[in-house]
Parts: sequence; structure tokens; C-alpha cells
Amino acid sequence: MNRRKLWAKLVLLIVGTFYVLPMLAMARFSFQRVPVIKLGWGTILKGWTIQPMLDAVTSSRFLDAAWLSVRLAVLTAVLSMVLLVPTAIYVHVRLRKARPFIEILSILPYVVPPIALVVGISGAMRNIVPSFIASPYSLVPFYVIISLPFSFRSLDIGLSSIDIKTLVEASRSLGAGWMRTIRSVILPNLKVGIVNSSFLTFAVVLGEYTIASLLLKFTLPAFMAESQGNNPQGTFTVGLLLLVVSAALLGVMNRFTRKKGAVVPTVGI
Amino acid sequence: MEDMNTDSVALQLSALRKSFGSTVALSQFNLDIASGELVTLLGPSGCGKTTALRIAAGFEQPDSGVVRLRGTDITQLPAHKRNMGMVFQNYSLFPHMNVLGNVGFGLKVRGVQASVCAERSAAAIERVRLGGMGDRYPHQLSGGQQQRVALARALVIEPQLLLLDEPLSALDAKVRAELRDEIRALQSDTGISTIFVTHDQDEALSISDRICVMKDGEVQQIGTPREIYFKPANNFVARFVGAMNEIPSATVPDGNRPPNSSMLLRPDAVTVCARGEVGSLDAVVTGQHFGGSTTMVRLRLELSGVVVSAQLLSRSINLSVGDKVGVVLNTNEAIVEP
Repeated sequence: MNRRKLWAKLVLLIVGTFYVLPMLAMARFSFQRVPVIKLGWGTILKGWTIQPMLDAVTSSRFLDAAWLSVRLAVLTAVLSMVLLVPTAIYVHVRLRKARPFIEILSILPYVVPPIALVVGISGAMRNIVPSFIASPYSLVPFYVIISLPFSFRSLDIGLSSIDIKTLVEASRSLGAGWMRTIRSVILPNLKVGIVNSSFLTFAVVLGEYTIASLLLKFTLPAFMAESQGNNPQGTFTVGLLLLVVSAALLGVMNRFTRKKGAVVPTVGI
Repeated sequence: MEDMNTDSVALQLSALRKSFGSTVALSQFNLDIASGELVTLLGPSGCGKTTALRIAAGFEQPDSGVVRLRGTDITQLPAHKRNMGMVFQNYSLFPHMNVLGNVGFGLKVRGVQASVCAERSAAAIERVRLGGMGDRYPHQLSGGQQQRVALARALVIEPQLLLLDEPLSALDAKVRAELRDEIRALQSDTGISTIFVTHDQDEALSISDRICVMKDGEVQQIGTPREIYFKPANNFVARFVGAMNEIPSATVPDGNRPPNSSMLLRPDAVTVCARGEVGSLDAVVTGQHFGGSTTMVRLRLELSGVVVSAQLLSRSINLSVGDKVGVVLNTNEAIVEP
């Protein structure tokens, strides 16, 4: 038992180091005004400053890019939930045989290169709705697709962790129609899945560069790529900031979803 | 039940047929349930008993046939409009609601005033002996308590029919017996017509007004527990309900049976006596299975080598393996099969 605990701690330490070390290196590079060649133990306390970060985040281009990314992330998360929550519920309650097929469908975006997706969809849309690609919001459908492996699976796991069929039947036998059942029984029990799914979608969108770049949209990753030349430290501080915000958000979500009632395992992240 | 008065019929399942792909789950299934009656659907796995219950609840649509509730055709009526309470095999409490929330759910859906809802829910919780547990969540309750809450939740809406889908099968033996008696008492008190699905014959025999024994989607026999036990309609019912000895007729010195036939005899129709008593067969005790008030004694008939079981009162016997005894087979109660 003790030996197993020791092993577990050791593995945790190695994984933790693997995860934290690059971030610490990134933090030093971002917040220390010391030439890279001189970064070492001797300079560990020298030249710390938040100026590169301030320069980056106060520029109007950063604010525009960040605001666009946040809007796209929120819209993508909302659209994904509107499309996927009813689909996932339907598949689990009424169409269980189709689940493997839907699962395969949901991981298809992994194997379709973004360039193929962009060329295909933009080519088709140009003929149908010429103004579609011009709008920055044209990224939303692409993002819904590329975040599908994460968003659908989170919901799917969330639904698998509860006996959804019996709960639906219990609710209906008590007189609740479908809408009432979804609102009062399924959604509260799917809260963890929905939160996880939305959060992952949000994170995918905030970090997506290829499609935005191909469609010439100025999102946060596009800003970071652009500013890497003139303010590399600033770029890294933004990257680090994104990581910290994401981790904090994850912590908040976890606390929120574990409030009371059912003990539902945290899934998907 | 052919002579059941139409007015007294709570639920009528007529000529139901249901198949899933090539598997026929129900075939020409007919069952009438009288007001206030508890009818058990009993049969092995896959016999169609749960399908029949789910059709009554509205969760499955029959391929053909009619479901009538108090004379009204409800075959096409959605489940949530049928006003039937249901308790499921796997605990079906809403995990995000406490006991009070679970029990009050059906009343809330019906738009019952909040204060009345709370009052009725509390009374229902009290009725299933869970008073003071209203603020607990399902994961804080034992299996038996969860099923009690499910029962309270189903009863509080005053359903026209109570449907119990193997509600005791996930519980341990002691809780199972307790809850079985409670279900029966509650059902009798409320007078709600009830369908109880089980594959457990003891449960069926002890709780039911009538039992419907099923096999391969067809009704084998409908009758009171005593009829089912003592006058089984066919060999399947005889073998499925209660323990049964199968004895070749040639074993018994009674020339009235066809030589190649067998007879089925309940273990309680086999008695043990001293060797040499008139009408007894010589036998040797080969084993015994103590079951509390009764003991199942296994005996090998010396002449034929056939092994029979005798159910005897534990207090009245003092037998050991290897004892040489006499056995009397009460053949008046036997069923002869060709």
C-alpha cells in the first residue's frame, strides 16, 4: 500500500515537473529583462518586469483580437451546445444503436486537415452566400466542427455517467412531458458535461490559429503570431496569461459543478 | 378473469403483440386487472413481462392490440398523460433532487400549490417510514430507502395504476422481504390497482392477488397463488413455480399410469417415515438443505435409484446423511406428464 502510494507520488511528481517546467521557463523568458543567453541560476532574481505584458495587452490590436476571440469562443460554445445537447440526449434516449456511428462522426474533424475544411466550405459558401466568408463570424461553424471531438465527447461521457433512460422514463411516468423532462431532469444532471464541453470548446477556439489565418481573420492566436517578431516577450506573456486564465477557469468550473447533490465524476478534461 | 365485470376492470391489455426485429416479445397477450388488485407478471428472463409492463406504461407501442384504462383506449396516449406511477428496478431517483424534491416532482408537474405539494410529499415520505429524511439526497440513502422514496413518489400522485418493474431485485434478502411486505400493505391501504413484475416465484406467491405466468411472450396461466402452485395449468408452470420432483411413473407401485410417463410432485407432497410402513418406498438420505423452518431433504429411492426432495418441518426431523428411511409419495397431488 505504502509502496503504491510512493509510486503514485513519484509519477505525479514527474508528470507535474514535465508540465510545470516549460511554464516556469516561459515565465522567466516573458517577465525577465535578461538576455536569453544569460538566463541561469545566477540571474534568477534579476530584471523581473511586467512591462512586456503591459505593452502587449494595452495595444489596440491585442484588445481587438482578444475581444474577437472571446466573442467567437462564446458563440461557438453556445452554438455547439444548442446543436449537441439535444443530439446527445436523443442518441442516448432514443437512438442508442446510432451511438458508435455518432461517436465516429464526432472524431472525424481530427482526421480532416483544417486546410481541406476551409477550402471545401469556403468554396461552397462563396457561391451560396458570398458575404459569409467576409464576416469574422464565419469562423464559428468551422470552430463548431473542429471542437466536435471535445465538445461531443464531454456531453456523451456526462450522459453515460447517469442512467438517462430510466430517469427520463421516471420523469415521464410522473407526468412530465419531454420539454419539462429535459429542463428539470436531464439538464441539471448534465450540468458537468455541459460545463466541461463549453469550456473545452472555449479553449479550442482561443487557441485556434490555422483556420483564422487561412481566412485572414485577426484572432488572438493571429495577433500572437504577428507580434512574435516585434515583441516576443509580450507574446509569451499573453500565452502564459491564457494558460493561467484557463487553469483558473477550470478550477472555478470544477468547484461550481461539485456544489451539491449527485456525485458526478468530472469528465472530459 | 373472463367473468370480470367490465366496470371493475382497471386495466385491460387485449391481444397485445410486440416484436423487436425478429424476436417476438409478446404474442396475443391478454390480461385484465381488477380495481384494487395486485397482479404479478412472473416468468423467466425474456418472457415478455417487462415489455407488457412498458406497453401499459406507454414506453413501448404494441405492434397490435389495445390498452384500456377504465374502459378508455389509451394505446396511443403518451406515457406522461397516463397517470400511472412507476417504480423501476434500478434506482430511478433524480440525483440532483433531495427526497422531498423527488417525491414532490409529480405534484409540481401537475401544478399543485407549493404548500400543498410540500404537505402531501411529507405525508408520503412518512408513509414509507422515511420521516425526517426529506432533505437527504439519493446518494445518501441505502438501496432499500431509495426504493421506498421511489414508491412514495409513485404513490403521491394518486395514480390510476401502479407499475412495479422488479423493484426488489437489487436489494439484499432481508430488505427485500421487508419492502415486499410494505409494498403489499401500502397497495392494500391505497387500493391502487398494481402490476408487479418479477422473476422471483417466492415474491410472486407471497405478494399477489393473482399471478400471470408467462413464457416466450405468451400467457401460460393466470390464477391465484394457490391455483398456480397447486393446480398448475401445464408442465412449464408446474416446474417454474415452486420446487418440483420429476419421478418416472414406473417407480411408484400404482398401475394406473402409462409406463413411460413421469409425474411431477411437490416436495411438500413427499413425507418421510420409518422403513416398512404401508405404502412407503425404501430410501436413503443423501443430503439435506436447512432452510430455517423447513428443511429440504434429498432421498434416493433404493429400488429405482431416483432422487426425490422432501420438504419437511425442521423441528419434526432428525435425519443424517446415510439414514435408511421410508418415503411416502402423495400421488394424489401429482401431475402426470406423458
